[in-house]
Amino acid sequence: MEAGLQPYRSRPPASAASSGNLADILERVLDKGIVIAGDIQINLLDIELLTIKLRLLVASVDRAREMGIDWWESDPSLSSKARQQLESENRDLRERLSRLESAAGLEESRDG
Amino acid sequence: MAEVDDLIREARAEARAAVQARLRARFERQLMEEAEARLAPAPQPGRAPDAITGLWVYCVAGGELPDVPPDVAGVAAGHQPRVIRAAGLAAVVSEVPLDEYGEEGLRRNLNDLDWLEEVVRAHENVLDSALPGGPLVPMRVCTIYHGAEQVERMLAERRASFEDAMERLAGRAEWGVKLTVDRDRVAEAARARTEHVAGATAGAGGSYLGRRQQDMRLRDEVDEVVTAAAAESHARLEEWAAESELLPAQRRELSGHDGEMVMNAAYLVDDDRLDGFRRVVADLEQQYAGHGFAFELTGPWPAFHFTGSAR
Repeated sequence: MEAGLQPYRSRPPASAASSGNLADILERVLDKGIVIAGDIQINLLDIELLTIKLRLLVASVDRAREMGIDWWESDPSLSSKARQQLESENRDLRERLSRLESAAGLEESRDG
Repeated sequence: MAEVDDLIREARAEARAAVQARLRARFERQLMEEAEARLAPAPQPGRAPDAITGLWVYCVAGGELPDVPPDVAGVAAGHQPRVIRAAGLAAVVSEVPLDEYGEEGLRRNLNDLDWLEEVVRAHENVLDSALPGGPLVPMRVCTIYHGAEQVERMLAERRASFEDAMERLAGRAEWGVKLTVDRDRVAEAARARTEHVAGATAGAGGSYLGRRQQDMRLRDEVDEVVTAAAAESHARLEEWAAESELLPAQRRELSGHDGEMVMNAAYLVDDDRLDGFRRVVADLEQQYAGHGFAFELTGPWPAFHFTGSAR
């Protein structure tokens, strides 16, 4: 029983982290601690960090939603819904462009 | 009249051509910008990216924090962690090359688990080395500034909230307790109990339906035992902690635990209550170890779960 109770991250600290369980460390350093936007653009990093977190740590998407994490709903690279949105936005833009072009009388040159 | 019509037609055609040319130039410019942005998001003109470094911040502590021992390595090879002191506070930092730790580099590297593991272990290791020096506020990984001046400004601007956090953490440390269970062993024990009680009527389990009902009863009983064990453990540990937080169960691929993780919690424990806290873990282990449960105590950790990450 004693063996199970020894903190394996015993001091001296130099050897501590190297023996720790990666999940223990990740759930702390990725997810917790003071979050301050440094000079390196953190808004992009947030997404990356959460990507990893979700993949590695969070048991399910439902659980993530409970925790208020729903960024993938709007991240174009991750959600098919968002991708559809992006596609329809592109379509709208193309239509607007052709309307503009025809308003400017460009349709004849395209035909020709 | 026909002449006027021609004039109008010509003028209209010329106007069309002129507008077309302008629109075209505009679209060209726009598309070119988009294409350039997509193709070359990286280096700023006149600067060799590998020559630039930023400052990775590990934690903030009181101004009396001792220097980092020289045998403690930083996240980036060859860059020793050091202490920046300002506004009565101390920040532990080390240089990181921005080609690897800039926005673009991090996007690439963070999804590489080997790279990530090395970096987070180094981050944690530096914090561990600073932990005996008094209360410290750990930073989430990838808090990077351009230089010492920016770090000093950050310390000055956030001085009050750092001091609040350190006051809350003084004389305390974060400890982790995980409970894992081997359900088969819990089921075995439950079955043995049932058979013992049922005794003479054991023959009732002979039919298929009877066996199924027994299986379902057994599963429910195992669930109950497991839930009760987790609830009791957390409740008893919580009594000895200043604050606590229940965490999601860990993924076996990363943690390598045996059995099923049914509790994963972090506790902020006063140093002078640590003995009591440890005793509870030992008691729980004694009570449950023979029944398929295993406890794991880890720590002391930097108080990652108790520094108010939303601030």
